[in-house]
Amino acid sequence: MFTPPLDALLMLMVATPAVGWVAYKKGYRKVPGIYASASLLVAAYFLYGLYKEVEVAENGIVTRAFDIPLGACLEIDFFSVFMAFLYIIIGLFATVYSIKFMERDSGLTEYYTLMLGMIAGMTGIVFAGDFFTLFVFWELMCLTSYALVAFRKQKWEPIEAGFKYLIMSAAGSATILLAMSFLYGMTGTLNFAALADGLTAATSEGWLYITLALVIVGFGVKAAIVPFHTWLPDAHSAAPSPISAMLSGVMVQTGACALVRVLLLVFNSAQPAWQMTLAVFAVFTMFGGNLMALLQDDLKRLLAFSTIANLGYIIFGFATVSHDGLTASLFHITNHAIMKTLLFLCAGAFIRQTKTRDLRKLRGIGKIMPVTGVFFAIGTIAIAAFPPLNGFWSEMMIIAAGVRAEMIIFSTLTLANMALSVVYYFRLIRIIILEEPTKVSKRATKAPVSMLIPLLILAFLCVFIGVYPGPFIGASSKAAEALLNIEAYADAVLGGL
Amino acid sequence: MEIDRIGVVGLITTVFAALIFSTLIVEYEFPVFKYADPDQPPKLVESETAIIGQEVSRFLWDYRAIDLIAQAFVLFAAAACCTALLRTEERKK
Repeated sequence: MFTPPLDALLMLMVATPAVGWVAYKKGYRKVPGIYASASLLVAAYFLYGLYKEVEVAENGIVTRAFDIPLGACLEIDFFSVFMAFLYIIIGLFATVYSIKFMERDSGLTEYYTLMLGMIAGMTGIVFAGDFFTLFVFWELMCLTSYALVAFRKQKWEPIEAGFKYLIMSAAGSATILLAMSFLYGMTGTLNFAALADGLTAATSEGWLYITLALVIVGFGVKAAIVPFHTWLPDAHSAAPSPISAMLSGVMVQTGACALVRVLLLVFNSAQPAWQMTLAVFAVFTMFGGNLMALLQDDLKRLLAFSTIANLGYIIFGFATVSHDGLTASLFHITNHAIMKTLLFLCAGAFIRQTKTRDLRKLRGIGKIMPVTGVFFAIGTIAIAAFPPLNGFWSEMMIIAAGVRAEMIIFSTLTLANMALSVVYYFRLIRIIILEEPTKVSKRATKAPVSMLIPLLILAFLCVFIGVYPGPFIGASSKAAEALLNIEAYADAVLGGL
Repeated sequence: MEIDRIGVVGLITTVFAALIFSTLIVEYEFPVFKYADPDQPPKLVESETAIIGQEVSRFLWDYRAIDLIAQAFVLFAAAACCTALLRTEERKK
């Protein structure tokens, strides 16, 4: 139908309620979670097959849905495969962790159905070769994430956060739809390749710039670019921790990646305009995220603001529009997904055992839960960009790319922000690990082993990528190359005509 | 009465944006299908046919089935969302 990994995700998502119903009848509450984890492994297997196909394809691009030349509903290059791998792997960690974490909640069948739907949506977005196809998968991702944020509906906070997220995200989606209608009005097509080809001549077209502004605002809401970020801290802190990890680790990055793909392909002729705009937004996003993170006493809210700051770094890398910058950003997306998933899952373990997110009450929890505490410390040191952990390399690569692109002021501001972020990361380590346990912390017991396994693998990855970054930088470089190779992307469809 | 400063700034910005947008609509004519002309240089890719725009748009109207299939999954997800949020609570003791 679409491509094997996407088909697998969609079909297995549709089958989840049936599996859950049978499992509940038999009294096996953990089956939906195990089924969802197995589904993601199946999708990862198919994705590996697709990767092999992309490797041998002409120009490294596989088109699907209908035959070339017109069948470019899906256009899969190395960038698409790279991002899809990240979604599936992070999704797998979150799902495995959820089996124990969510065991006391009701509606688990719906939970895993929505989780698979969200991952399918994100995968569809990076596979899309047509704006309308992208929008349909965008809706799938958004819709499922609204319900997942508000999943623990018996409390007021998730409902409020979900509603805020729904309103803001719907406004963003409507803005994208308006931009799409303008693009269709100008070119008579929504196919990315044809749009890239048609708008090459539109350098002085005023309406192109209006459409550009709408695209940046529309995708910017999901990418949590300041000032469109206000939904994120509420949604990330109110959602169940595995969902916070998914939202923070990969979903907001999907917004940034969709934005940069559309900008590079469709608005290539307006590059000078959006490059500077993106760089300015990136700096606002870094400062907004870091300054707000300094003020937080809520563990998950602090991590949410740190995500905003990291998105600023990622967007700055994209704004350099260079191979180095894109490589650095994609490498940081990988690292940030690993580090932030680790931190949110550790936070989830602390919160599950103490029933609080308040840092004042969580003092010394690392001494009571030493294994989780060590993993949390590894994640925090990694995201604070201390060598030799993974965060150091990608953040330094972003700075280096900025300097090479002669964006010295922006690079300096990025460096200053990275230094600023160390303050609250070290505050986290001091509170969680070094201080004496409070009464609340002392009541906690150790986290279950099944929740520690994903944490162990993620912490290992932080160290492993840090000491052996070569293959991961290489993969990011290939993905960046695919993202920049606009002619090959357009040629894969239009060259066949 | 207490004035919400952020609200006031938001209102002014919205009115300002609406004014700019209205002015643009009145002042600049929308280039309807101007860039759908396949002969208009410069082109990103050399193509043997002269009707790329029309071909692609015809395809868009004729072959939206693939998006409709995806839309069916969106509807399924919407139903799952409703079930999740309207479920009766049975938290395990």
